[in-house]
Amino acid sequence: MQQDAGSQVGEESELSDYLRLRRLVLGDDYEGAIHRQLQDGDGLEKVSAVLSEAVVLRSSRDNSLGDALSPIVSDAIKTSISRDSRQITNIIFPIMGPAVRKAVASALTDMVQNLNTLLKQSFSLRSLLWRWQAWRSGTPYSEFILTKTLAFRAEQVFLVHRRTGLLLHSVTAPGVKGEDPELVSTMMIAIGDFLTDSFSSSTANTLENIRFGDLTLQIEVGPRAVLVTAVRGIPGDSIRSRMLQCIESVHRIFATSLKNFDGNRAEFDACGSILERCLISQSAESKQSTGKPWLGIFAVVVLLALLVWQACVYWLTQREQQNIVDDLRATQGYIIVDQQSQGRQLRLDILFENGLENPETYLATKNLRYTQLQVAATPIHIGPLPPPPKQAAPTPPTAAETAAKLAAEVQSNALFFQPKSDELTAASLNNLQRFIQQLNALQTTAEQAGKALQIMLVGFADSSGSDAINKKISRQRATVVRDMMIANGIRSDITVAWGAGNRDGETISPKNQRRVMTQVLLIDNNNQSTQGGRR
Amino acid sequence: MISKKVCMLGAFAVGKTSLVRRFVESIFSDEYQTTIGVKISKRSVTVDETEVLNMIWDIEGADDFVNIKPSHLRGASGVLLVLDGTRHRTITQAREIKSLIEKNLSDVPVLLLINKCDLKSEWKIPDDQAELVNGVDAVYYTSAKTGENVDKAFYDLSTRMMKL
Repeated sequence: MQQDAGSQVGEESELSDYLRLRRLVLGDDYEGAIHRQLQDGDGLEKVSAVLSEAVVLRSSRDNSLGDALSPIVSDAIKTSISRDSRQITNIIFPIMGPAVRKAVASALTDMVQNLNTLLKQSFSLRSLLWRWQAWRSGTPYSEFILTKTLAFRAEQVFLVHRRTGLLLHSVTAPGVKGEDPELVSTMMIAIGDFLTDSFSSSTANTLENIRFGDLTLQIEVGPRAVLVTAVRGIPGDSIRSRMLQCIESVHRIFATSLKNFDGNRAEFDACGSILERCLISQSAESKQSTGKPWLGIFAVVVLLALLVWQACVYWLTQREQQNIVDDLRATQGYIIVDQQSQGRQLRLDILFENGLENPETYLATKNLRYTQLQVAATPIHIGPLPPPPKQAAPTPPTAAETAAKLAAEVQSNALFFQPKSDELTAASLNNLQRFIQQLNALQTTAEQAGKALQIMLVGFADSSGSDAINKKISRQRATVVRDMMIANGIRSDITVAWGAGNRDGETISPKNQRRVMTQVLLIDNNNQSTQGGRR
Repeated sequence: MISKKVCMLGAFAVGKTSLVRRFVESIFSDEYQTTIGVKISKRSVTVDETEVLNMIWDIEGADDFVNIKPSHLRGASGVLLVLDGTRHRTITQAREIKSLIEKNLSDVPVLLLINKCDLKSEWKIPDDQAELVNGVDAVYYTSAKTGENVDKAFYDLSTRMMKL
C-alpha cells in the first residue's frame, strides 16, 4: 500500500496512455458512444442478461459491492420511510416479535455471562492479586483488568487525509472515552512527516506504529489516506490484515472524493461501516474458556439446590409435626388442647389421663429429626367416673374427708350447653346454684383441712363444625363457667379453664357432648397431691 | 463542516504559539516556551453560515540553524506568516519563508501578521507595509497579549480559504 511519489507519477502516465488509446479507438466522443450503445436497446439487454450473474460473481470475490451499495440502500430506505412510514411498519411488524424475543433471550444469556465474569473477578484468588497489583501501580482496577484479560482491543479508528493531515472520519468502540480525533490524527501525520524528514530520504518509508504505555497507534498508509487504529494491548496480526482490507476498500469506493478532497468531511460519512470492521478485540483467555459460563451456571445451580433443600426440610418438618399430633390424637387418654407451630418449633398443651404415661416422656422416646418440641402436659381425669365413695365411716368425718367427698360431688357435675353457643341449657341453669354451693363448701372445707385446692374446668364441643371452631367454643364454655364461679366467691387463682374441642365418640349424644366437666385437685401442704374422688 | 489546514510560520520567538493560544483558548502567558517540531490546535469559525474547522499547525520557528520542513506545509489551505515588530531581523526571515511557501504551495492565501503591536514604543520596523514582505494577501498588526486583531486575522484567513 505504501506508494512513493514516483509510483504515483507512473500511475498517472499510465492513465494518460490509456486515455489516448481510448480516444484513438472510439474517437473524441467516448461518452456519446457509450450512451448510443446502451440506447440501442440491444446494449441494455446485454447488460440486463448478465447483471445478476455479475453481481453474484463480484460479491463472491470481495465485499466491495456491499460497501458501494450500503450508502445507496440506506438512502433508499430513508426516502421510503419519509414517504410512507406505514408501509415500512407493516413490513417489519412480523419480524418485531421474534426480534424482541431474541433480544430478551440474548439479554438473559448476557446476564448469566456477566454474573460469571463478576464472580470470577470478585472471588478468585487471581482477582484479589490483581486488585492488589492495581492498587500498588495506582491504576484503576477496571483498566488493569482490561490489560490483563484482553490481548488487545481496538478502541478508536481514524481515517486521515494523507496530504493535509485532516481527519476524514473516525469511529470509537462503545464505552471508550477516546481522545479528540482531529488533534490525534493531525498530530499523527505531523509525527510521520517529522520522522520521514529526519531519518529517511525516501517517502516510501512510513511510520508503522507508535507505542505509548499499553496503547499502540497502528498505522496503515495508503496513497491518499492513512488509517490509524488506537489499540490497547499488543495488537495481533488480525488487526493488521483487517486494516489493510479496510484502507483498500476506502480507496476503491472513495477514490474520487479522496482525490478532490477540499476539506468537506461529509463525503466520507458513509465509510463509518467500513472503519467499524477494524474495531476488533481479542480476549487473552479466549483459548482457555470454552464459552460456557460455568461459574455462573454453578452459582445458579447452588442457589436452586439451596431452595430445594429448604423446601424439603420444611415439608419433612411439617410431616413430622403432623405425625406427632396424629399419633397423640390416636392415643387414648391424651388430649391436645392447643398446638402452635412456628418453623421447626412445635408447642403442644396436652391434657392426659392420670395414671397414663406422661406425654413428655412418651414423646422423648420418639426419634425426632426436624422438630423442636415444647410440651406442657397436665394430668386430668377423663373417662367414666369412678364408683361413688363408700358410705361414710361411723366416726364423724374429718375436714379432709369432707373435702374429698365434696370434691367427688363437684366432679360428678356436668353442665350442658345450647348448640353452637356458650349459653347453658335450662336444666343446667337450674343445677348451677347447687353446683356453686358445692364449690363454695369445697373451698371452705379445703381451707379448714389445710389443703391447697385447684379447680380445672374442661370444655367440650359436639362434632359439628371445624376443629378450630370446636376448640374455640369449648374454651369459651369453660371460661363462662369459670367467670360465674369467680363471680360467686371462688378464688380466681385456683381456677383454670381449658377448651378440649370435640373429643367424644358417637356413643355420646351431641347434646351430652356440649358440656363442661370439672376436675378438682386437693394438694397437701407436704405437696402430696390428691385427686378428688380417688379416695 | 469544512476542515482546513492552516500553518503558522515565522522566525523563532515572534509569538506564533502565543497567537494560537490567544485564538484557541483566549489565554496569554508571558512565559516563553519554544516549540519543538509542531503543535496542533483547532478552532472552528463560521463563514457565511458554513462552519470552518481550522486545524492549526504551529510549526517551530525558523532561525539560522533550523529550517522549516517543507513536508509540514503539504496540503495547507492557508498560511499566517508572523513577524516581530520589535525585531528588524524577523523581516528578512519572513521573506525567506515566503519564498519557501511559493515553492511548495500554489494559490493559498498568505496573511502577514506583525505581532507584539502592544510594544509600539520599541518598534524597529518601517511603517510602510510595502517595504516588508512582497506578495502577501493582507497585513494585520496583532498582539497576542491584548488580543488585538487576532480573531479578525484568523477570520479573514478562513474567509479567503473558503473562496478558493
